[in-house]
Amino acid sequence: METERRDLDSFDENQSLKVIKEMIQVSQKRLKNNGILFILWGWVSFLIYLFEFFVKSIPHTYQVTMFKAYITIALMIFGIAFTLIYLIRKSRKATTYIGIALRYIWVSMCICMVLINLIQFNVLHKITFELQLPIYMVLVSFALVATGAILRYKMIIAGGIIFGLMAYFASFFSLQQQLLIESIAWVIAFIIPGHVLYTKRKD
Amino acid sequence: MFTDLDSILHSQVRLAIMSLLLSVKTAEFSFLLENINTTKGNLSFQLTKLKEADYIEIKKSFKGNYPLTICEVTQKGIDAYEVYVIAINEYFKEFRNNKK
Repeated sequence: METERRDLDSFDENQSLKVIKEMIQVSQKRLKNNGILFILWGWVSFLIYLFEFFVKSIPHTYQVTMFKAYITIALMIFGIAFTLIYLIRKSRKATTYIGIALRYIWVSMCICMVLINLIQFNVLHKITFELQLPIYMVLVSFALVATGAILRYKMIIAGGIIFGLMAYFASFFSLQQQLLIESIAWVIAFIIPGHVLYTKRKD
Repeated sequence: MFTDLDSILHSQVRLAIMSLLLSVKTAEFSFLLENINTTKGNLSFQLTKLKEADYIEIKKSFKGNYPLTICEVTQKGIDAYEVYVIAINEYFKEFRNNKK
């Protein structure tokens, strides 16, 4: 009897279209980004680069250097730990193809950063930070544009393009000024879009 | 002439399960239950039906002391869903033509 009752849930074509539409809406809702990771990494990077900029403008002492190192490491550890916990919690119930694609983009970007450093060291026999910073910015810009395209958020794509242009602009300046330009770029490309997405999360 | 609708998919809960599973790589039982308006027992029953038709794969394991059921749509399931959507489209096209 129970089996029969359960099998009697056949329905008409209009209802089937309604079910498909409803489930598409559920999927779209899941894809909506609440901007938390953009806000997190925007603030973490903004503070690191701005702090580095101010440290470079005062005389170097051992204490200042160590303090800068501790702050940077603490912020990075906080950022990575928060990201990992957030992503594990989010993907607990369902793993989406878009989530996998985004993971590949950002992890490969980080690997590219390491490779660029190694290549730079092999070719130039030193690490030139004036060169490294704009190149890193270009990589972030690429990852941002790709993320925006996948999530279909024009604001993130625009942020990525601005980030790339600011990388080119930064290449005309000294390392200290590059740090200030990069900190501003993180505000424009991450913090502002992140807060907008977070505000719109319930729409 | 209308194409016959797949009787496995032409059911509210089973169609909802397939529509949801198509948008994700894998989904836990609790995810489906949260998004489909049905009971635990009925969801479990409809999942078994889809599994018997080879439209989905079900992996059962444990997370701590709790059972964990993970569902994934198969290629056969994707093909069947595509055919079903085309058939539904044909139905609506014909319906609109008759209205004119």
